[in-house]
Amino acid sequence: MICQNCGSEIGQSGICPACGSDVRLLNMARNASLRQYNKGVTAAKEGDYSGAIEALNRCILFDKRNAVARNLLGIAYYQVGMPGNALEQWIISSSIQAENNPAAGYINALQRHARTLEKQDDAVVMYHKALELFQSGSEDLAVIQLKKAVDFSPNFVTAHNLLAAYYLSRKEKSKARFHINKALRVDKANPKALEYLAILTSGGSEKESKSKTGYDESAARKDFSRIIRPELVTFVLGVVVTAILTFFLALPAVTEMQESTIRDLEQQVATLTEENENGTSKFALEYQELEAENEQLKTENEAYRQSEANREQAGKLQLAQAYAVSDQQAEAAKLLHDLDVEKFSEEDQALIAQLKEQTYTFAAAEYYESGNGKFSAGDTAGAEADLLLALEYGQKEDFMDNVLYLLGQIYEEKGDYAQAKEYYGRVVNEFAGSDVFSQAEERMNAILSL
Amino acid sequence: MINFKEEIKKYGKILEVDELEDTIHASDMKDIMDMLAYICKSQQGRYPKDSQKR
Repeated sequence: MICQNCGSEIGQSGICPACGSDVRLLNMARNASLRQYNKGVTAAKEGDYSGAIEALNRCILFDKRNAVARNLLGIAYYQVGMPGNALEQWIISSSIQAENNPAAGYINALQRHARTLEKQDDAVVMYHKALELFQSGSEDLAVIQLKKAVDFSPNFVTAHNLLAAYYLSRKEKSKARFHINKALRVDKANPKALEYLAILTSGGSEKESKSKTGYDESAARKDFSRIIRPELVTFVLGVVVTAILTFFLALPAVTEMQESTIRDLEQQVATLTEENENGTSKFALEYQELEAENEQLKTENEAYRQSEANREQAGKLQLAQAYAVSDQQAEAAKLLHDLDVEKFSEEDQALIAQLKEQTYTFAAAEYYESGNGKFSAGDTAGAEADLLLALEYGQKEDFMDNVLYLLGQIYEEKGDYAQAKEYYGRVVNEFAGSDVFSQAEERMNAILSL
Repeated sequence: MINFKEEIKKYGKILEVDELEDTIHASDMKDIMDMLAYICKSQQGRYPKDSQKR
């Protein structure tokens, strides 16, 4: 048997004669190291890198020369954003086992992606700076550093945890939850993240909840918080500030412009008032023009109407002439009766007079016969109308005494004795040879004696 | 909810890449095996006769 400590030959005693090591104890330590290594492997496979780191650190505490454990420990460190620790383990592993060691490949891979390594290492530097700033009370600057750190190295679990702790202390639960989720997404069983999650959940107000409809409200809030990013808030604030500045810068110019407008309007009002008072305003002049135009139109309309009336009168005259020629004397007389003689020329007036003389007698006779018939039939109202027309058309025709006498009787029957007496009186005074003279005289005296 | 001033004390330093060289050279880390070997060696030196007797 060979001493694992110094390589010397060991006898049955189990004690190395060269270095004095107890092989049994060393084997026990080695077995303990292997058990921790196995734990570490299991944890790493499950994504529990913090558990793996813990177990593998115990593993190399028992056996520092376990290169395989160191390789895995380096991977676990790298997964949680600790490249310095990862490189440390891989370098030591390489020094323990120079050949057939994948650690060399890991180191080469990091060197090939120098920029990534640089960013991850910068993130660690920022984390240290943030710790200093937190301790000096510059929390805002510290948060900025941490945000940059997780931006440079999204898997940097410790930085996420620190941000979560900060936001928890500020009771900014949604932000805390965001960073806790980030940490747990990288390292599924990270003790710090789980501790913060427990605090957050026991806080009550932001418990995971689902509505009755099954809609995951916390997920919705998460999505919303992703949408409402700080950049958006900054942009909105910028727009508001710009609007306010523009308003205050433009306000004097706007005010001046408005005052100028007011002065112009006041001037216009004064001018219009003056013009209105003087009657020289545009509207007054237009009104005067319209008035004059209206008067002119009225005059023209009157002239037109007059001309139309004259044409109508002339038409009637022509028709009356036609009736007279065709021996329809009564019709002609009625048209002539309605004519306004004054509107005719002297020549026409003479013609009208001639036609009246020619036709009126016929019209009077016609109305007399009609009235007489109606009177005999007992239609005193119809008789009165016809006899009045006969009286109007007639002059001294031989039947006019009968017309007057009949009218006297009609009015006497109506009780209009004055009118009746006048008609009877005209018979007595104008028609001395009338066949109804005595009757008219008798009736007149009877009325006078009432 | 959480005392951040106390909480921040739980956050320690993380190894930076620039510090690697010094850390590796300075670390003469002992493991359990070193300690056992040391203990065994010490016991051997302290009780050489006892062990020989046995």
